[in-house]
Amino acid sequence: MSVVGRHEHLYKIIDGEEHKLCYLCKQFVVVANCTLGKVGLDGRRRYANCKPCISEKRKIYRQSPRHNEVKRAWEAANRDKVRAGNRIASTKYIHSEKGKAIRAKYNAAHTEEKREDNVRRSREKVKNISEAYARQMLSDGSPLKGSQFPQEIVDARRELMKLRRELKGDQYARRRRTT
Amino acid sequence: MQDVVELRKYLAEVFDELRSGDISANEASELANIAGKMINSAKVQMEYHALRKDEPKIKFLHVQEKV
Repeated sequence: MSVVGRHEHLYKIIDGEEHKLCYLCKQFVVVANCTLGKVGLDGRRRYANCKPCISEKRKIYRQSPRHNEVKRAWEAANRDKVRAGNRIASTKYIHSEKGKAIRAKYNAAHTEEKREDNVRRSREKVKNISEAYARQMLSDGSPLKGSQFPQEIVDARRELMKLRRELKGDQYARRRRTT
Repeated sequence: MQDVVELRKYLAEVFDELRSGDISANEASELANIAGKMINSAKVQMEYHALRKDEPKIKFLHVQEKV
């Protein structure tokens, strides 16, 4: 790409390759190693400074307190975007080879712990008659999934389970009294 | 008993009455039995429509908010 116009002095052909002057390191760098800048009024793409310089500049900026302030302010104003981004990133990580390997390693190291945790959670679910347990009971022997039942019927089912449990306890108490 | 929300509220009342002793265990048991049948019949209706792949509004389940 030949450059003509007022930015001409920034460009130089060295060994048949186009170079651009980097304002930060004051050296001519191959255009391919420069970051892409804005498109000028003449429709031509301008090239900014060289990539290592820009990378260093950004690294320094990221360590500054101002960067943290700006970042926190933006995150506070765009919570939905942050959440969506985090979700995408975590999904990507879970399905990546690295994520799978780390998960497999963790699972192998904590098999017993995980089993105990699952048993404890399952017992708690039954003990507290959780929503998930009510949905599980509704979907038992049904072609529908637990998540397909509307909230109202799940709430009614939970209330019924609570009542039945109370009655069962009552029956046990009566049996104990009679024996 | 017009809808499932009313049923839930009624079951909660029965639960409280059973705990306070205002209602006998046999009576509460019968009520729980009927409530179970009502919920199961609504469930069967849902399953029927799901298998037919149609989405009609089941009046018992679709509750309109009372202001």
